[in-house]
Amino acid sequence: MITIAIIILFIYLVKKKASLVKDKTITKINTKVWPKIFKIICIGIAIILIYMPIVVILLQSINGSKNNGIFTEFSLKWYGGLISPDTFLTGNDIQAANDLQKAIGNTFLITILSTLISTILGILFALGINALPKKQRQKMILLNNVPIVNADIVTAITLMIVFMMVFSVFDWQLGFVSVLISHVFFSIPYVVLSVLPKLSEIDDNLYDAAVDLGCSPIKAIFKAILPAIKSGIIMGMLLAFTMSIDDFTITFFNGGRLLPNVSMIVYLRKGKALSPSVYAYNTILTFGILFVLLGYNIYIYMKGKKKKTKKQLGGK
Amino acid sequence: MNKFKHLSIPYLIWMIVLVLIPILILIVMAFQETHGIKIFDAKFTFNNFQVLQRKDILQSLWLSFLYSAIATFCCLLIAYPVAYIIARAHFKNRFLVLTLLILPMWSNTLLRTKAIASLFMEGNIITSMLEKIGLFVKGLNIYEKPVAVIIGMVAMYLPFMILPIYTVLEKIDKSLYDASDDLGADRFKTFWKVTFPISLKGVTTGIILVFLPCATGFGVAEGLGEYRLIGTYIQQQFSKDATYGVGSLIAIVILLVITIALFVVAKVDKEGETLL
Repeated sequence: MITIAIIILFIYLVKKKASLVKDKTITKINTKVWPKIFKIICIGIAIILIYMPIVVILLQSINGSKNNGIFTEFSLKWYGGLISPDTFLTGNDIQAANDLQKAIGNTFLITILSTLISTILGILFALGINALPKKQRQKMILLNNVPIVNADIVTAITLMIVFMMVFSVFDWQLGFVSVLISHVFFSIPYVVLSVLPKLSEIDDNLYDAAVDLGCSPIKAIFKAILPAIKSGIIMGMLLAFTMSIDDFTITFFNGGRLLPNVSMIVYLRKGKALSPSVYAYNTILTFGILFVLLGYNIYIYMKGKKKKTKKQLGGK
Repeated sequence: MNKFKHLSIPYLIWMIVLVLIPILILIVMAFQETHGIKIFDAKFTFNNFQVLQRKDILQSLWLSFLYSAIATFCCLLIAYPVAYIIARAHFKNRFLVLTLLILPMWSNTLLRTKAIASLFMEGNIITSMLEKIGLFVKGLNIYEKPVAVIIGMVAMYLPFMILPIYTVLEKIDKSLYDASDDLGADRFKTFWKVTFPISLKGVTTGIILVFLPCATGFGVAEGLGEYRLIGTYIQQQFSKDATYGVGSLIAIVILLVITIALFVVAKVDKEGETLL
């Protein structure tokens, strides 16, 4: 398979070289073609490494066979199994797909709640950190970086210890609450880090001006500060969402057995018990987010273009 | 906006409760022989430290280090040129480049590991599809071999190396290149004297972001068929075996490495710009 990739790359290179040779500046080619080949090889390796697993998952999701190693025929039944296992699947597959549905539900419940909570808390904490004097601010950022740099397994264990101690007092079990709190915990630092640079860009007097003009403090935050840091908030939300939906280690130790998410199911179920619908779910998720983001990007681009033309018209 | 200063106090408390106190408990537990958490009635002991002399533990620590060092090095080797090329290409649409780099992260990591691990077996989905069109190719059959584990790790963590380096390279003021050019430096010298020193910040962050999860994670390594790494061992101490003392001790060993990493990050990147 890798050989095929190399062959495709080679053909591409030869074509590229041929087109270069046709160019009139032949003397320049010898010095310029090698960096180009190096460039293409580097990008090629990176693309193959990064995208190969996604391609395999895509192929697996349209594979009629349950066996990972054999492709029998094109089939969309695993996509169907995602919506309604009873009508599209048979035998043991139904149970496996039902379990997967539950896991997907858990994943989204936790991810959406933790993204919302951590975004709100993250913005508030970032406002606080931004207002601190320089020395203290750098100390807080150091503390903020702990969960990001820390190994997942250490974060997971430390959180588990806290939850076990606190929960044993109330005789609770690790489950929904502990999973949610731990997800909020590791998401907040990403929100803080993406909001802080935007906050430091805005004028210190912005808030005071809004208050002087008769805004209540809360209204001043909503009307003056939030619009100015909007892009940071979106970035932070996106990161929090990404980290939360993909988390495995921290969920595993903090009540994931009672509330298994998709990662837990992939880890715990080996072989036949894992429904191939998970490949379908993953493909939909990956490309769904991609299209949403591309759509958003195009929307922003169009908006910018409209503004420009308006400005030009106004200028005339 | 100085009024907001007080908002950082709850965050400080939150961090102390969820980061600093548990680490202290972890240290206390390393000196106890317990099954589960019984901080107050457990006895003080040094027995857990015998673990650090056991051959299998030392071997798995060494193996974890070796695997992740090689994987990190390979990542750096691929990621630096890629980040450099993307940054120098001056794409107008930075958002699109970032999206394409982050795209794999929206795919479940364990599932991607599973997918890449299946490619290392002799019969996999690609060879099976090629068979359908009459091409009989044999797979690599390197599943569970060290090469496979390293390729898998590189594939999983490559974006974490590209992103910070790209972020730093992209922010370099273009007039620096012009200045270097005007002062008579050729392209290589410009790279060596201007670009490279500035990019070290991103390289440091990248190394940390790749090395630590490679060395301490257990999901990815187990998915690739490697069960001897230290992450797997800690995981067993805290779930199946419930020997929390031993697990805590090894977690502290890892924590020491992480503390160093944390201070390196704080040193090169005071405002945490490259961590995103």
